[in-house]
Amino acid sequence: MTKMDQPKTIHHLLADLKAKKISVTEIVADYLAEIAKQNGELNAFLTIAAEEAKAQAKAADATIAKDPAIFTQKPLFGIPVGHKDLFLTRGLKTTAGSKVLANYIPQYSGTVVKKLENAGAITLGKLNCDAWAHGASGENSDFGPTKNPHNLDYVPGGSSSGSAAAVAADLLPFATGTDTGGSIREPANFCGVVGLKPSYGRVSRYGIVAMASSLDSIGHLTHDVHDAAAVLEITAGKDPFDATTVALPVPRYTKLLDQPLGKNFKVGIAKEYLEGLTDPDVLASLAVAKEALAELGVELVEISLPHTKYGIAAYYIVQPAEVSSNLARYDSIRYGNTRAGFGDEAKRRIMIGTYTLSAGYYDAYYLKAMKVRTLIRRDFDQAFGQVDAILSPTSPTPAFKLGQNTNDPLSMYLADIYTVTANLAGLPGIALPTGKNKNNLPLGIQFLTAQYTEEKLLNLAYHFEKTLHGK
Amino acid sequence: MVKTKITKEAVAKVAKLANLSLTDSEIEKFTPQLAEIFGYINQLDEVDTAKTHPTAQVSNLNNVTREDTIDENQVLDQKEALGQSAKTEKNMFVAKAVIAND
Repeated sequence: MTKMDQPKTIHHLLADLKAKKISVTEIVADYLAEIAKQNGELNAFLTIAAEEAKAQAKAADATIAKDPAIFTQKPLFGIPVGHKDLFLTRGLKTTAGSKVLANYIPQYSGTVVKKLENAGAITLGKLNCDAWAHGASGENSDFGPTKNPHNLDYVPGGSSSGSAAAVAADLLPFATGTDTGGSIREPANFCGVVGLKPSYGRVSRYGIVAMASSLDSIGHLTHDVHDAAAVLEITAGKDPFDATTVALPVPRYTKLLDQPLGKNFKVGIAKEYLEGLTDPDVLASLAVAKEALAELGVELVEISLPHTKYGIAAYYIVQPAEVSSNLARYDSIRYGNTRAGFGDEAKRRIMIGTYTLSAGYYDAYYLKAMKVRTLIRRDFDQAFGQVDAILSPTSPTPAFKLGQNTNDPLSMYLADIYTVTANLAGLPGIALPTGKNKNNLPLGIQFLTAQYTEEKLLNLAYHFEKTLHGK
Repeated sequence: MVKTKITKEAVAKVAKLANLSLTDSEIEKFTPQLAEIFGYINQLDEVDTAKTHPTAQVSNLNNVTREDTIDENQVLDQKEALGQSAKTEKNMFVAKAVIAND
């Protein structure tokens, strides 16, 4: 079951389970065997919950034998999942990829972890990530970098590095992730899987190590769009423990996927996104996407997002400011190790944030960035008055080599240009694979839609995927 | 708009404010990196925001409140609450004194 070109999706596994072609015990054993085989090289998992998962699988098989209708009550019954190591899992070590939390065993689980457990998913383990989710390559993990399964000399992208690599290598059917400036979409793009970043406020942040609280979005990485929709049906919704979640009803996203795209469906391409875009692979990937959209009968429209060029600058004020305040709580008194355990990237961001929030500089930096954030949001509001969705690259290049950018933090930050503005504006976005380049590295694109319109985003993504890959 | 140059002194000061202990070689390394990052983010100065309101959050929600009641299911018992601490005394966390006792 580990052939790269034939990934096991959630819906395939569920169909096989319902038809009794396979048992939960067999599924879990297969994945654990594959993890044991590949993880030494990939370093995607930091913790493997093998015994717990096997026990749960055995219990799940007994339940199925007694109650074959269990799948209607628990739509992910018997499906393995891995969580980015920012998600608190009661009794299971959670490190945030940092030595500060090297031995931290959470006393409670996050809302998304609980919701997935209640839907019947079985946790196989915890996934590597850039420490505190700071990074675009996976190389900032204090427990060593994750490798790109398509080419081990290359990064898998970050910060949800282990999540993307594990799904791409078929070590999991799906994995959770967090996206503060692109941390789901960029690794999905580098690893050739589907990465969904829901709108800000759509999915609860409760019980997930906070990076930047006004930007953090909780999503997941899957093999296809159907699975992305199936997982969002479980995770989305208001949570009394996260006051920033919205009370909007959660649509049955999977039921809406194959609805025809609305008449006169328009997809915008921002001219500012194309300025300075030179990578031939990324340009080729965009061309493939445009062709698929044309085949779908979608009208392509040039739009303008004039404040795009200020996105990174605004993001690298707002985000470190919130990081410095969130990481201030790590003082080793109640849990965790001392602040000496912070790595270079966390130290840099804590210092940038502390500086921009300090007396005399607040107006010049943080307040200014919040005002530019208004302008970026307004750009999108205007664009979505004209078009249904926006097409863009996910990153300006395909995956790069390990070590290539580690000594140059600014150039690493600039790679987030196509992803950060969605976080500043609170929009949903999805990264979708389009093919591969000559180094066997995946290529892809990103779609964005207006805030809280995940059903439209997934509807477009589903038709796009079907046109391109015949799924 | 008041902005100063990122110097080694400024980095040392901000590290102290953030409760980070940096070595001299770390200050040496971080100073040019932070100077470059601030050089980049200073480009926001060219954006006219004189009439723009700030956006602090994008949930579209205001003043979210809840009943002031205790949910027993969300309360850790003392043993669990203290369980992850490296140093406890008499069932309490141990913190450094912030006011000298003389």
